[in-house]
Amino acid sequence: MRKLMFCFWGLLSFLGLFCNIGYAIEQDVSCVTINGEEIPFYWKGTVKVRKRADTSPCFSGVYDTQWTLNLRLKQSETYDVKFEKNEQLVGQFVKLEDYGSNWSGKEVGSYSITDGPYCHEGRFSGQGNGVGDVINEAYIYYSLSENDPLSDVLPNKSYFICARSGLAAKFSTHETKTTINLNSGHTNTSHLTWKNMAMLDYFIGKMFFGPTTKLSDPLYADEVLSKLSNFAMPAYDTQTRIIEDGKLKGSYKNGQDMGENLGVARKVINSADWNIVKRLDINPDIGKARKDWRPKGNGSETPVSISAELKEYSNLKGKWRFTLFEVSKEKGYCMNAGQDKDYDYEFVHGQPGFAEPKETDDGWEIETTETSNKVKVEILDNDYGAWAKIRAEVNVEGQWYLAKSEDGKEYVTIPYDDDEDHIADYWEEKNRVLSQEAIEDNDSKPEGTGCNREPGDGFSNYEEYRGFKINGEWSDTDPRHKDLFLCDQIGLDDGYYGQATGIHVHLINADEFNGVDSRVVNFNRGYGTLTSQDGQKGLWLKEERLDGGLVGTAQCIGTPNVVKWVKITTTYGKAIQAYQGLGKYEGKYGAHLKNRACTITHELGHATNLTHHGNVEAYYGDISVARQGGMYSGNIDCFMRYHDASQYIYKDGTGPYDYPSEQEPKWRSIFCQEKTGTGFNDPELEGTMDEKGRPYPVAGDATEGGACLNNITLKGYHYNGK
Amino acid sequence: MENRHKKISSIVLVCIVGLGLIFYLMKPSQKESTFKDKKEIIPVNLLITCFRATDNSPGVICMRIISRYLMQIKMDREVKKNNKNFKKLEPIKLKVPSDHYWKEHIDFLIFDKEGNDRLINDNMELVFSPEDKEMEIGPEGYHEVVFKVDPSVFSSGDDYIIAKGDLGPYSVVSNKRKVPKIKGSWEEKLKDRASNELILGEFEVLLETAKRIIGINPKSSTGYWYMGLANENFGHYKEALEAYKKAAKNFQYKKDEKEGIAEPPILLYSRIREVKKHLSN
Repeated sequence: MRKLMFCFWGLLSFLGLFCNIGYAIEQDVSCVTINGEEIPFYWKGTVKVRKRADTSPCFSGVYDTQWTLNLRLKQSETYDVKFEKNEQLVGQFVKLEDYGSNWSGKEVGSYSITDGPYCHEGRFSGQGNGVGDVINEAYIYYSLSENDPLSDVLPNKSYFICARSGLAAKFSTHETKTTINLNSGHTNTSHLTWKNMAMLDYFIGKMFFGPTTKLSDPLYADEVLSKLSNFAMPAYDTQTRIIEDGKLKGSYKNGQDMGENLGVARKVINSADWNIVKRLDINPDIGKARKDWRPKGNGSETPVSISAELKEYSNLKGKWRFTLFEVSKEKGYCMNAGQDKDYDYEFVHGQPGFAEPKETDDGWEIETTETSNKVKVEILDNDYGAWAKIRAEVNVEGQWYLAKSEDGKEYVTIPYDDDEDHIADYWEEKNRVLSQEAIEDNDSKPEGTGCNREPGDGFSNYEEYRGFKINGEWSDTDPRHKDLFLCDQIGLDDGYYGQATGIHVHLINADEFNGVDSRVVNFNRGYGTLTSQDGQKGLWLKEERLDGGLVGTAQCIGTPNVVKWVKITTTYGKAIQAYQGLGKYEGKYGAHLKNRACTITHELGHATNLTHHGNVEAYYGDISVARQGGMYSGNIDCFMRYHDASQYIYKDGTGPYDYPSEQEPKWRSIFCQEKTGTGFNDPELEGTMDEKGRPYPVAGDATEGGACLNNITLKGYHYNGK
Repeated sequence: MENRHKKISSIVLVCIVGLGLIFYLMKPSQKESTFKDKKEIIPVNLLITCFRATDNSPGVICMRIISRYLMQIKMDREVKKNNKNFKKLEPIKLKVPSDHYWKEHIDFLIFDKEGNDRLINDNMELVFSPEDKEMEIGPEGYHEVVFKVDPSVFSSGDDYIIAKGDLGPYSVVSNKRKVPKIKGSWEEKLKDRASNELILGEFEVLLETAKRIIGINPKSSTGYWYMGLANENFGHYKEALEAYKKAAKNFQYKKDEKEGIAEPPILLYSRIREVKKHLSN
């Protein structure tokens, strides 16, 4: 019995509490109380309005104007309604005013009319959008007494909303009018603009007051009854509308005959469809990702966290939902490794306080298992170029509220990327490319290298950010510094090429480009790749038998995208001693290996579009003969110049003279920056002769090539130094 | 009684830990890390290559021992700066007590296209290896080991070779090198054969092979080149010069802009000068 009493008492208490909450909501027209917090609310929803005029206004044809209103209305002024005699409060009018609504509208129409020998045809079109101007009057009536004398005409929670033609949103319509003379076939077309011809008008609910009604506070019931207009708007809404389940929801479609004109019956159809709900005026926040974080393609090692919070109301709690969307799905995990095409981000599984994530159409979704005021979620990346947007929503009292970031966006990006070019801003700042697009390729360093050519190395900023697997390790590359990838199957890497050019030469394994036949390094390219070429290729350096005393050759002169291979002749074993004459081979970096490194450097020069210094035939029978402006010309230290001929022909045709081998530098060491000859090729030696009677300069300035460093080209499809 | 309680407590504790472990292991796994293949960086690399000529002539397998330290110092400095996981490597020292070391420590395996492998160490003969018994594998360059290989081990052109084994404390695996296919024409086959004979230092057979090349193509620059090398090695400078001159006369420069560079045979011209010096002395 005591138990039964206790239950009964509990039930009463519960109902009492429930009623108190209801009472609190009704009492304060602009706030609700939740967990002791006074929280303002507003009305939010969509109204779709359409006015379709068939065979009107006066011709055969159609006008169709459609509006979409995103309403945000705030309860503002209130007007108490009292009995005149005893001052008893019987009800309250609550005025709604705009609180950040916006609208868009469009209009199309056409007509055709024959008038004597003329046929007039017209087409209308127009569209517009704007902020505000979506209502003229809107009221809700709350009945607060069982003896409310207005209840017959204004039931509790009746409402009306209206916008009258000309006072609210409007936009211009353009007409193209064509007049055809049916006798002559002559056509005349004119273009007209009808300023603000499309005007928003709709009436939701039977109106309480007319546009000129003045209200005072308090109002008295008798006065109200006299003021209630009971406007009949047969072409619009004819019903008294009442808030049901907390929603202003409904639709109508009514027509209005407009009589006949020129023998044609005219009719206008007005329709509206609305759904407006009460929303708490809360603004959850979503924090941005840490600025110095970037995806590392490595699963669980460094998850990034995103937090969200109901900052304004510390006692308010809700259920949270995070949605990762527009999640990138780049192939693999960097430009030249991995195969997967899965999402590049995912939520950490098994996070405390979260349910398991669910896959969506373009990402993932995860919800908390408990309500809270603030929350933090962890996200893993599986790609060095991973990018996504994430939004947070909180559900309070059954409705979801979208969190906004500090800059007012309804999402944040991962990584921190304000310009949304899929590259972490801190990386762009660090590499000074923040103002550039992801697709740009403007590498200009090292200074002078390739300065006569288009800047860049064939890899976009995004690709350099996403990075490469280089000799088994991932690395990003400098977007301002030229990069060249080389698969070396010899073991002498790039010789002196990187050292002499300043280009960052990356030694990659054979599986770090897509095979020796294709050689594309950025084979996992997708987002932000250059459209001017189909991938950037690396160079393939190999060792093979070369015929008849060749030491090395490139497949042709051109950029890495066209040069299929660079070959160096086989020099394994003791036999090297037999014909290289460069000292005893010890298997170490001795003279013959330095010589080979020079050869590699020379051939890599060809593979980055450098020619010889001249194209003049330098060989005569069984001896090598240098000639003016030929292969032996120009800067004597340049890797692209041939050296150590047997003889030379002077520029006046005299000779051959013995080539001054003793004056050759032992090793070549640079890529020249001018065509001008140096050493025994120096043009300033003109007219001089040595003690052996040899005239100078020997081969003079470079002709075809020269200025080698400045002409190095890494990107595009270029041949023969062009 | 107290001991009994302790015993029961211990059993309960073990059960709880065990259950925890089972639940942990049953927990749904994360997406597989893309870095599953990430392994410790070994400071030494093996680079192998293979040469074949004809079905009956010996093949050659060459192996270079390269320091990854060398590669690292050649790599972009930026890579190191930006990569927190960058582990600086140091040169390593390797003791090679005898020539047997290479075949004992390294397995040479041929894989067919189905992935079946077979060991070929018994079919290989060491021809050349570093003279130093204590090698430093560092920035000074690579070390080479050359083997002559019984041609029967190569069954098809789709096979590939891998060398793997232990170098000092490191387990290493070489690059995957495809077994080259035998060329179609006899002239090309013989040129490859001559190249192998040169690597192996077999100058007598090289001379014979050079003659066969010239027999097939009397204007073969390469044939005369090998003939000159063999003769020079025997000290037959007059014959060598004659062969080299014919090689120079018959040398074909590549002129097609997109298919070759007019690189001259500078080794040939340097040999001519050397041989002339010998003759003038």
